[in-house]
Amino acid sequence: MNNYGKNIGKREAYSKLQKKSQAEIMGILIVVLLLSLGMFLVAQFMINRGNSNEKQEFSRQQAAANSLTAMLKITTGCKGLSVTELYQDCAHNLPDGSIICGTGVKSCDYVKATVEEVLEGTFSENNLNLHYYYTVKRGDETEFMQEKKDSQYDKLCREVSSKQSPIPLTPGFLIAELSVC
Amino acid sequence: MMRNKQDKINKMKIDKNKLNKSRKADVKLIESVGIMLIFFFILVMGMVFYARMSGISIEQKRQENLDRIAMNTALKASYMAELQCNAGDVGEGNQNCIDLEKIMAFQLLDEEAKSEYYQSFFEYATVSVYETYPDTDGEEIKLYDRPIPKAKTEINTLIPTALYDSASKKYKFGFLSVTTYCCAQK
Repeated sequence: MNNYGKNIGKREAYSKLQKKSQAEIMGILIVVLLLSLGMFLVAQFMINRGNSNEKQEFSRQQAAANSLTAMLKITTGCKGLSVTELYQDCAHNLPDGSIICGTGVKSCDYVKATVEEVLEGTFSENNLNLHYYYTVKRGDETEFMQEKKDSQYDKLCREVSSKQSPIPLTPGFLIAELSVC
Repeated sequence: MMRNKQDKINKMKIDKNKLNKSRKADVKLIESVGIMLIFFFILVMGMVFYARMSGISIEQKRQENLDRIAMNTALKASYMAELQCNAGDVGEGNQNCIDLEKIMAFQLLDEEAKSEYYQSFFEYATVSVYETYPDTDGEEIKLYDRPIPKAKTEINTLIPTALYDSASKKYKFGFLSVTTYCCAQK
């Protein structure tokens, strides 16, 4: 009888312990569920936030592509030649070029100055208000024929949109590249 | 006498046990109430956070839609056959180029008829063109102007473009400026 009583006591204690651990598991389950819900919401907001730069990306791409193609078309004040034609003359007759423009400046210096003027105007605060890096080099060389960088470009540019445009030569070609951020 | 004393001691022991049990129950009750309070506090904080983030998200979505409308309008304007250059062959040479002669002709159109005709195309927007090279202070030429009075949002998109003067056969550099308007203020 005494042993029987002891056994019943043990069983009750065991069942109480089981109930307690079940309750604790339920608690942990709720905490895990709440945490997962929170993490899901945070992830959702982070993904949504990532899409908001669409307009900036579009503006950068448009700025890089359109500025470069339009700039190479410009008719300069040097004998009515285009920027592309002046680059071609400069590349064929390095280091100064063969064409002498109205003010006595040769084609290489003239085209570089013209392009720099256009770039500064285009990316100034009054217009696009962006930072740029512009280079021109022969297709098979690493040395730049022209290199112009915005003073804040290295410091501020993380995401960049670039556009390359070939300028045909006989033989070979030049590559003009404009990166914008 | 002795038995009376023993009874009293027993009664005191029982009372003490009852008191201990009652205190334990009180502590458990307070503990449960505390947990419930913390749980509801966290729940409310979560709901407030969610409501705020949803608000931001809705505003963000609205801004994204407006940006998309602005981009579409800018692209439509830049590819308008009424303005594009047609010098030379059809191809890349004619892309990203606006004919200044066509702009002059476009300007001569009747404002009302133009506004009516292009309303479905541009909706509420201002489309203009200005030169920055060689003339750095080029005059802004308005092609289409239909703003919303007291608009809540104005989004300006600038597209660099070549401007072709077919009279002098020269290419200039300038911008196609497209401003889109949204939502009248009450």
